Amino acid sequence: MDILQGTLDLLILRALELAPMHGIGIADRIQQVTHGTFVVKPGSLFPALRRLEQQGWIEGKWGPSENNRRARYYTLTRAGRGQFAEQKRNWYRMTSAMNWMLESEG
Amino acid sequence: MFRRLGHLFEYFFRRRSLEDDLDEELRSSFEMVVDRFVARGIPLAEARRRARLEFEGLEQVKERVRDGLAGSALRAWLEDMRYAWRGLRRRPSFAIISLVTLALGIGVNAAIFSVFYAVLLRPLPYGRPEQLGLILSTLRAAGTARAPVSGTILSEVVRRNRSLAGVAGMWVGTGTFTGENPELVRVAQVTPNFFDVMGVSAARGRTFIKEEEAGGRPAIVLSDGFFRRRFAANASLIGTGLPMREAATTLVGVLPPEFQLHFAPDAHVPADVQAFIPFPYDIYDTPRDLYFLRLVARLKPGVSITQAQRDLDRVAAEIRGAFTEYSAENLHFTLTGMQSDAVRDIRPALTALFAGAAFLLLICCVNVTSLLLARASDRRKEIALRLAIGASRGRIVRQLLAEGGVLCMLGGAAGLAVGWAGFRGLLAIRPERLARIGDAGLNWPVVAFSVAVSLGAAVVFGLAPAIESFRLDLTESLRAGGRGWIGRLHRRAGGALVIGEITIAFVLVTGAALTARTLSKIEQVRPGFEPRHRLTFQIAYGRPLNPAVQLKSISDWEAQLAALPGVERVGATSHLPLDDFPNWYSPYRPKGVTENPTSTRIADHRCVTPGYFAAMGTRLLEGRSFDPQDRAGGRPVLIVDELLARSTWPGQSAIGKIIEAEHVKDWGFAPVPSVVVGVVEHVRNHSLTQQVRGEIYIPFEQSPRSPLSYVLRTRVEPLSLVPAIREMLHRRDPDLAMAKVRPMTEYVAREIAPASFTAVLAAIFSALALVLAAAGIYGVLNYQVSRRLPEMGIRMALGAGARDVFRLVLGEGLRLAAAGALLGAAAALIAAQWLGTLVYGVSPRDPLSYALAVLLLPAVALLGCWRPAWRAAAADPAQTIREE
Repeated sequence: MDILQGTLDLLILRALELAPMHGIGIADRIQQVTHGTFVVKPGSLFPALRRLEQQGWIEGKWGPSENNRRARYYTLTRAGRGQFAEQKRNWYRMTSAMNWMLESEG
Repeated sequence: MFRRLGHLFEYFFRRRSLEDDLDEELRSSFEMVVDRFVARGIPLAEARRRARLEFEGLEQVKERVRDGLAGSALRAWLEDMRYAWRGLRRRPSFAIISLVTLALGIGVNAAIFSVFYAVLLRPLPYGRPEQLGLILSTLRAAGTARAPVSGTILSEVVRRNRSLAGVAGMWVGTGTFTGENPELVRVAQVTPNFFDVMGVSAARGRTFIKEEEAGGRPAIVLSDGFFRRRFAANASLIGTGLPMREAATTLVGVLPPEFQLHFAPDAHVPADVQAFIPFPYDIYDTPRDLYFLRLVARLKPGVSITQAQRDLDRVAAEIRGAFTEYSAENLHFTLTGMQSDAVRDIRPALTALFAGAAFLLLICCVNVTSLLLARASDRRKEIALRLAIGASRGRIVRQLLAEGGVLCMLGGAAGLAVGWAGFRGLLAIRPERLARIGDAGLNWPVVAFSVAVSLGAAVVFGLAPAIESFRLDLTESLRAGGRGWIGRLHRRAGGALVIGEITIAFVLVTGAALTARTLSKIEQVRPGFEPRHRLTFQIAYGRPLNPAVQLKSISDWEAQLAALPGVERVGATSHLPLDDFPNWYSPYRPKGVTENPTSTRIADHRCVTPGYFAAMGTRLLEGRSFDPQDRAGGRPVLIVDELLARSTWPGQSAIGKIIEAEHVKDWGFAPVPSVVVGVVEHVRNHSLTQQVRGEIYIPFEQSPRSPLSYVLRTRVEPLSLVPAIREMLHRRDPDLAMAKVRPMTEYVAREIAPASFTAVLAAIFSALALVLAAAGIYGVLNYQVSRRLPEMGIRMALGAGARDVFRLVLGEGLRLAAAGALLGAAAALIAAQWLGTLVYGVSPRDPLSYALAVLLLPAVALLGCWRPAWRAAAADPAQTIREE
């Protein structure tokens, strides 16, 4: 399933809420948790990461990966946490509104 | 916000490390994915392949990352510019040719537009200039238009109109400042409200007040330039008396530096008037048929020219009803905007020049477009390659546009430089009528205009190749070098461009030929006198002339001048031909000719001394010239010109006929019956190209009038006599001043100046157009030949001779040229209908001018085709085919 425009940011922020992760780790995590519903391709992942980083919501630092490669690990910043909370609220508001719309009668 | 700015900042300054970071991150991520596939037991090569599939190309990912970031647009733009710059530097000849072409096109336009703006568009330097108009009278009975009005008419217009906030009258005469260096200057006599109507206030002191009307209290206002030059801008002089020969005056104010009068030449109101005084006499008490006042009117706010014109039509009807004189003259008024009237005569020429410059720019744009097009299709392979390795089409289009943009920015900058230089050049050769461009310069509207032209050109230039690249079929281009439809398109487009250029060049060449022929016709005009070896100068004696003393003194003075070594003949006249001194034209009544009651006869009147015609070289056709016996108190005599003689007494000799003509008397003007003793050739008093009206010459002593213009026929260089004459005059009377000391050729040159200005510019334009057209044809054909070398090779392999190939290419070029010339002839013939006022002595459809274009353009086309054709013919069939 394609990721809805704008939800990718939310997914990334959510993945990073628990622990710092590198790019591929984030993609794997999203795929795992959504049971393969969302497959994040590098072509969308890396632009999103860089954009979030530029906005100051996440921060990338180099560190060793599992197989001893250098990898760029992303951490949620304070501003990022705030942003995540905000986006989460928006998401709930939007989905409940959508539900209302779709399930209303007539 | 600041945080984001900080990031942007960081982004720009740490871009390199960010790029490296991204590169490394993507590579390590790629390896991680490979590792994962390997861990699942997939062989390394296959793992890498799958990882690549997943990544859809590292470069594309990077590109998307870059595009997604803030500031990326700016960065990409800068990058495009840098890339375009590098591209231009890689092909210096292309860049130089394009830049020179663009600089020429933009430069010529900037220069011409500066003149156009300064003269036609820039508002006059008065308060609310759009409300200012001129009231001109039309005396339909005499067929006289654009005439001044009488004092009575002024007072009636003021009294009866409902649409004007104010009306002022003026008349420009002369005055002499006495003192150390007596100086004769132009003095405008005005109604006291003149400056209020014009919306001009004094820079120092004040302008006139009501009490100063009709000599009520002497007052004078000076121009800034004259105040500085003669009185060293001494502000303490304001409120004190200034020494003037004519009357005592008090300096009450000085005008702002930018103040100038802007009237059409036929208003006889020159731009540089040094002093203003209120009319020293009651203008409302002058004869009703003395038309001398120029009226300036200020419309009431919100009133349009058309509304005011209707109001004035009503006023004219009322005036005709109230005064039999004016109903006999069938008086009407014309109200024109002050600015549009001032530039009335020069507007067609400037508009034509502006159109010529625009055409030239068009050719320049066409040439550069054709160059870019040729280049773009040469770059198809490069573009296809870049598309293949991941550049988006939008990006490529942006880049092509950037190339056009860089070219145009550079071209625009160079163009402004060229324009500035060109404008300097125009200043140097400008005719006096374009004096207003002196203080204009290349200004902001001009810069804005040039930038707009450059931007427009950038879009055109960028878009043409961009459209091509959009249609680019990747595989076809990579495989076949893209000789497919783009080559065809270029061939067709190239052909159209060449035809367009030739068309424009044809129009410009005929235009230039017409203006050159006009100029030579004007130069050949016999103005009714001989301008060479004539020195002229003016002396004002003040009014009224004392017959007993001054007349004797004047004839002595003439004798003294005639005795100077190098002087052959001496004469004097009240009005030099082609001078901007207010004209003297009045009705005359021939005796014994049945009057047509609806038409009045009007003639230019001049007072001349006996030596005048001989000194001026005006030919006597019949009868005799004046002699010293024709003096005050003697039998009143006249000399008329051939025009008047023919129209008044068709088929008869004028000699011996009696005319009632206007004489100057101590108390003003009066009609005096006089006998015609001679007929002279017509003198073109007002314009070299027009015979305006008949002329009546009165012996100076019978009708003395000041100032007097002297004419000396000399054997030596006219101006070399000036110091001696000045000294003689000073010894005779230290209070007399000479003004307008000029050779007569200067008056003629000033008349020719606008035509020669136009002719020079038109010649430059058409020469440029020809060179550019040749370059354009060369560019297009050369490109096509290089594309078609293989075809030529095949032709030659199949037995065509070099001569056939040569003829083939030449034929193609000439066919285009012929089509262009045909279109050009049609366009020029259509344009001819607007040239009516610009040509003189030739038809706007002058066959000779068209013949010149018909001869020149194929020659130019041939020049452009020659080398490409030769190149095609020299192609080695074996080699070109092998290269395929």
